[in-house]
Amino acid sequence: MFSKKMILIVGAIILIAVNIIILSVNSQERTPSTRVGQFTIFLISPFQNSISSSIHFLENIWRYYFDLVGVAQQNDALSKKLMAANSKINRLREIELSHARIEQLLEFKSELKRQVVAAAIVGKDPSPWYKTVIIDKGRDSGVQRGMPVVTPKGIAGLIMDASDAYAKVLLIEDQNSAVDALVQGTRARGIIKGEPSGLLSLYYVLRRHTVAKGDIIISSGLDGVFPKGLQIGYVHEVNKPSSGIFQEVFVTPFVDFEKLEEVLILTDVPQPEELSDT
Amino acid sequence: MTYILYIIMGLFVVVFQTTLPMHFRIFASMYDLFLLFVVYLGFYRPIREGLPFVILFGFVMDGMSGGPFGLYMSCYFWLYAGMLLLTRFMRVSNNLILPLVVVGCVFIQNLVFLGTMAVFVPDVKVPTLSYQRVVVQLIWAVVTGPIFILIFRGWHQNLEKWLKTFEPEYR
Repeated sequence: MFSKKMILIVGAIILIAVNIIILSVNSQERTPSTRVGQFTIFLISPFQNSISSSIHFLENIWRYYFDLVGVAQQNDALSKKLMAANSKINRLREIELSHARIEQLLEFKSELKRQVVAAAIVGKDPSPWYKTVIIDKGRDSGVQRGMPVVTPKGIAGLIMDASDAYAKVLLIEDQNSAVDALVQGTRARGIIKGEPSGLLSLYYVLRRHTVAKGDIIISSGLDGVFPKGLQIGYVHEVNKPSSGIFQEVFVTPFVDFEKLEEVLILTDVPQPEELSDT
Repeated sequence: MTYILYIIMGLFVVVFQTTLPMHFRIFASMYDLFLLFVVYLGFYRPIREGLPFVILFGFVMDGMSGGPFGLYMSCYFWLYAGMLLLTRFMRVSNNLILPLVVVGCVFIQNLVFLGTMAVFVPDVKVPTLSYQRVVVQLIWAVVTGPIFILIFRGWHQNLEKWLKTFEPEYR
């Protein structure tokens, strides 16, 4: 009844339609945690880990070799500097002791509120269009999907998927990422999203709010993922278009994602009652 | 043995492109090397060998990527189908068409990825400078792609010859 060619064409059209529907459904559900995804991370990440370690090892050998070449010249210069440095040591020792006390207090305070797991980055997204990384901590270390990932400089991203020993992190520079944020000085609120340029954008900031270049952007805590007050970046540029109720705010992230090597995962995700306190 | 070779090479490619760009900036603009396998399998190998491998590593790449699940698999599948179609109209033994085919695959993949972002990601801004990234990838592809394919083809042929020496009728 139907020719072979007709059946092939109809088959291809049906396949394309099914394909688009599946992609559409998967795109709606942005971070599907699938067994396949977890299995592939479980399968690939040990190799990434060993390759990264080997490269680090070779880099160290290379760096130390060149360090030795220049070390004789540096030795003379450093001997002279040593004399000057000794005089500073006493003054700095006092400051150091004072700093250590304050640090201990802060650490104690943060330990009471947040539990963290440190992790190293072992791989990145195979596609240049998506910004995710693989870290060497997973469910075995208490890491779960949705947990915030930070560095001492600021927010890095959130856990997208986790296998037993590894996890995938969606960085805030990805265009699929969204963080509820505040301008620290004026408390103007918006949503931080990734930009293709490597900057971040603070969306939905009303025109009536004053936002200036250099203002610090922090997390608001209202998204239920990132704790309030974590640093994100500083305002790079502000544009007020002639029409519309929002202004365009571009933000430079504090975290240098190109040089990101270690991160901290906050493993005590805030509960709704904690959020209402803030 | 062929399947083991494919799996080892596939794993090598996945690990290579998810690890090395972090340490060596020169590889940051590299194209998706797995596309070379898609071309190789589509042009020179039977469907029973190529299709399962293309689907399997599509899944693996989707698992490693932050894009919508199924994007890599769809892309590889349709490019593989395109390669099969091409073999019906072109003489694939002519190596001069390889650069053109590899460049075409890299270009189509980038187009599909950018198109997917543009269609499915809300408020997305397609990078204005993305054409630079794509052009660099195309240059990498035209220079290295055909060489890699031909080297791998040579290896594979030698391996198959060597394996045949163990078959009883060959002796």
